[in-house]
Amino acid sequence: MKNLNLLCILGAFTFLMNVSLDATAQQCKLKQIKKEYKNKVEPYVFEGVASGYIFTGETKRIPVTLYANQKYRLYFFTDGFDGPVTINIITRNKFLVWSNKENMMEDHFTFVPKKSDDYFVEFVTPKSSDEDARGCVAVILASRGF
Amino acid sequence: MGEFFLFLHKRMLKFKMNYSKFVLIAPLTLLMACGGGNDSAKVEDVDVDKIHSSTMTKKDLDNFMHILPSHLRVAMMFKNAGVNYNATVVADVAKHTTFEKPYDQAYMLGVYSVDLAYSAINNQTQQSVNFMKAGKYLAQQLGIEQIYEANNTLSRFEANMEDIDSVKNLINDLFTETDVFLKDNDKLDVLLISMSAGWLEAVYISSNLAAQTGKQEIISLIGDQRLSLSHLISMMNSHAEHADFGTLIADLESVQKELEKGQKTPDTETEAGVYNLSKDELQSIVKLVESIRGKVVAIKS
Repeated sequence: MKNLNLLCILGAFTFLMNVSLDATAQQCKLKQIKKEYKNKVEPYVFEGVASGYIFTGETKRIPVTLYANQKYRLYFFTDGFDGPVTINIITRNKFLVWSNKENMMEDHFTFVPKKSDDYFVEFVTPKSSDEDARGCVAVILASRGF
Repeated sequence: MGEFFLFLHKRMLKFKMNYSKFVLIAPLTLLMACGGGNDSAKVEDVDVDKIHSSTMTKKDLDNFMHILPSHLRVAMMFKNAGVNYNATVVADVAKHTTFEKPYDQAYMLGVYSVDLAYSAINNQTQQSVNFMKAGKYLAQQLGIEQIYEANNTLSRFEANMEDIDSVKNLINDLFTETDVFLKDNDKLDVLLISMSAGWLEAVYISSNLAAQTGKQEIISLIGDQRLSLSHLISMMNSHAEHADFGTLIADLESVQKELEKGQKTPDTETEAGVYNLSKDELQSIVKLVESIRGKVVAIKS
């Protein structure tokens, strides 16, 4: 009976780990992110999203095509990392437009590009003790309507 | 036993568990898991590596990590630049049931999406409903009708077609829903073909009207379309093994080459360079895009 109770507890642990890991995978799905941010971006209008997994300790850039003189708001989503993620917005020539270094809690940036171009949202993720670990990053694009 | 707990602990650190859910779910799960003294109850170990497949490659990780401009955004910018409605440049929506090959269906889905946006923002309400219906039909043929059915898009569009703000929101939502659905469900071929076709349709409409009006604002916006074009070509090259992509990639690259002729002075870090197309350069683009478009798009009778 004592062994059965131990087995039940182990089974519950394993089940819970499965559920939570699957929840992490689901959170990186575009559908899930869109659902979360569609109303969150108001009064801006949701225009698009890009997401994906990256290995911890890596730096990844997500390009976003933006047009001049349109008002945009970029939201940033990260999940699965052991520490804060540094987010930079740079131009194709690596000119820094904005960074969250002064306020790591900042989860969005609003601006009006002077030039139509590709802007790159750069995620600099902290290392993990497990070099195979991965986390999710996403950029949500919103604009001030049409 | 201690080794097993250490194994679990390492796995939890690896994937950073959602501890709040753990706290909420734990009591209920324990009740379900430990419901009695049945000696025949079995516990299955879960192979964590199967959940996050180690077969995901770097290429997979890089896929679709890009946001392309929505058709509505592009259509509105062209409208503000002076692109008025011209019924002769949109595709013949009456022929939407004649497309039987999946490639052609995906292609026309992209074409009709742009024609829908163009018609709607120019208050061509009945025509835009027709394009929406045609798009839904093609989506059904491709097995992706959930895009339209999830939010009752067509019925809401018909109910609100006199309200331009509602129409714009619905079209924008349809575009983002399509983008998200196709990426989440690995419909890479449909996504890239329809996005490329939509891009060509936008350039076809705008270059025709630029040629008619000579408006510099329209020509500048045509030049801006090179940004999304380069990404489309790059993404298609990443999936070049697809049977139908070869010709489309070559077509897009030929348009890219013609568009590059308009860059008269280079961009600086903060300002765009001079982009202009002469009458001859514009005509070349019109003819080229027309010939590419004519491979699939039915000519109006």
